Amino acid sequence: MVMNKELHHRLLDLRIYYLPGVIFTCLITGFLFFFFPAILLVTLMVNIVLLYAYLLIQFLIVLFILLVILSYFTNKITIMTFKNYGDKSSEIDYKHLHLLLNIISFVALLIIFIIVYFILF
Amino acid sequence: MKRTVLRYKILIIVFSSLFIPLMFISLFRIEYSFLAPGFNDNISEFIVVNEEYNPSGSFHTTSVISLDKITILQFIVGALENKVTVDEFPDYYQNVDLDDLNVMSYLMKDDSLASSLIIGIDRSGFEIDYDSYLSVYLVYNYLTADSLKLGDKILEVNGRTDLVDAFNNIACNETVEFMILRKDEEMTVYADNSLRDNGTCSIGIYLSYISEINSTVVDYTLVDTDTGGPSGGLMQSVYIYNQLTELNLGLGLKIAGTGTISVDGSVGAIGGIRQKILTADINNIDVFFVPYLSDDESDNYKEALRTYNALDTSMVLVGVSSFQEVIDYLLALESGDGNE
Repeated sequence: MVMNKELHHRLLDLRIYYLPGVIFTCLITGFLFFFFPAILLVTLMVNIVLLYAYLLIQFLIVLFILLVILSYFTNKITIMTFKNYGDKSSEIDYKHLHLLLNIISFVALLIIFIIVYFILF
Repeated sequence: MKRTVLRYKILIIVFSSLFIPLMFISLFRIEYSFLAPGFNDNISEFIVVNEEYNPSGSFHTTSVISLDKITILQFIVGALENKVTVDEFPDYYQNVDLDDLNVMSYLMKDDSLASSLIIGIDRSGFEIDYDSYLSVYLVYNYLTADSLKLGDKILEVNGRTDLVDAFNNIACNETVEFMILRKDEEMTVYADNSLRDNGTCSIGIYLSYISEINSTVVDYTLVDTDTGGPSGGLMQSVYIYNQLTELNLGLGLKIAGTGTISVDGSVGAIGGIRQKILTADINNIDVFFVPYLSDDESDNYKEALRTYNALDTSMVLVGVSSFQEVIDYLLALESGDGNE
C-alpha cells in the first residue's frame, strides 16, 4: 500500500518535470512500438489458431506471454524516450516508473484476455 | 521520439520488412478452403431433456473447423499440417452466396435437432406429432429475387403434391410453378429450369427435407450453439433416447459419433470424416460411431478406418447405418458382447 502510494506520487511527478505534450509523445512512442508487433502477433495467431482449434487455450496463453514480454520492452522504450527529452534521474525513479507501466500493461492485457476467454468459451 | 526512432532504426527496418509481407499473407484471401479438427461438444449442454436422470458416461457430437476463402498463411500452414485438408474452392461456389452456405448450415442443424428429437422421443415410446417438408436449403445466384428463397417449404410443384415425381418430370427450359409456404404464408412463385454453363438444365436450388415438431408430451429445451451442420443428428437422437428410456447406454464412457439422422431412423453420410476422427482421438473418446452405408472406398466408414488405422489410439470405431444399430451395439456392449 505504501509502495503504491509512492509510485502514484512519482507518476504524478512526471507532470512537474515534463510538459503534457512530451508525456503524451513518450507514451505514444512506446505504444507504437507495442502496437505494430502486437497487431502482427495477434493476426498471425488468429490465422493459425483456426487450424489448431483444439489448442486454443495454449495459443491464448502463448499470445498473452508474448504480449507481456513485448510490453516490457516497449515500456523500456517509453522510459528511454522520457530520458531523451531530459534525464531527471535525480528527481524521478525511472525503475519504479517502468515497474508501474509494466503493472498497468499486465493488468490491461489480463483484462482483455479474460474478456476474450469468456467470449470464446 | 525522433532520437528513439533513430536508435532503433535497424530494428524498425528489419521489423517493417517482415511486417508487410507477413500481414499480406495473413490478410489476403485465396480461392481455397480448409477442414481442420474442431471440438467435441457434450450433448447434455445443448439439449436438455429429462434433467432428473444423470447417467454415467456422456454423449458427444464432433465438429470440424471449415473455412472458405482462406488466407495465404492458412494455405501454407494447412498444406504442411497432416491433420488439415486444404482444397480448391468447388466450381459451384461461383454461383452461390457464401453467406447462404452459412444459413444452409444452420437450417441443416435445425433439422438435425428436430429429427433427433423425433427419433429419440418416438423410439422411447412417447407421443410426438411432427411434419416434414421438402425445403429450399440453398439458392443459386441465377434465381431471380421474386423466385424461391432459402427456407421456403415446397407444397406443390406444377400443381402436383407427389413432389419427387413432379421434379423428375420437369422439362428443360420449362418455367416451373411452385406452391410454397414462406413464414407460414402460402404463395406461388416461379423458376426456370434453364440450360446452365455446365451444359445441364437446372432450376438452381438445393432441396432437402426439414422436420418441424408440432407437439409432444416430452419437455425439452434446446440451447443455441455456434456449431452448424446436420452431422450431430445421430448422436443427439441416441442421447435423447438414453435420457428418456434411462437405459444407461453411456456405460461410464465418452461416446461420440457423426452422421445425419432421418425421421425413419436411417443414418446419412457427412463430410470431413478424417478431421472428425482426429478430433475424437484428441478428445479421448472411447467409442466413435461413423456412417457405414456401402463398401465403396469413398464411404465414410472406409475413409474413417484409413485415418483410424494410422492412429495409435484405444478408441473403438463402429460403422452403423441406422439409429437402431447404435442402440443394439451399446446394449451388446453393456452385456459384454460388443465388437468393433
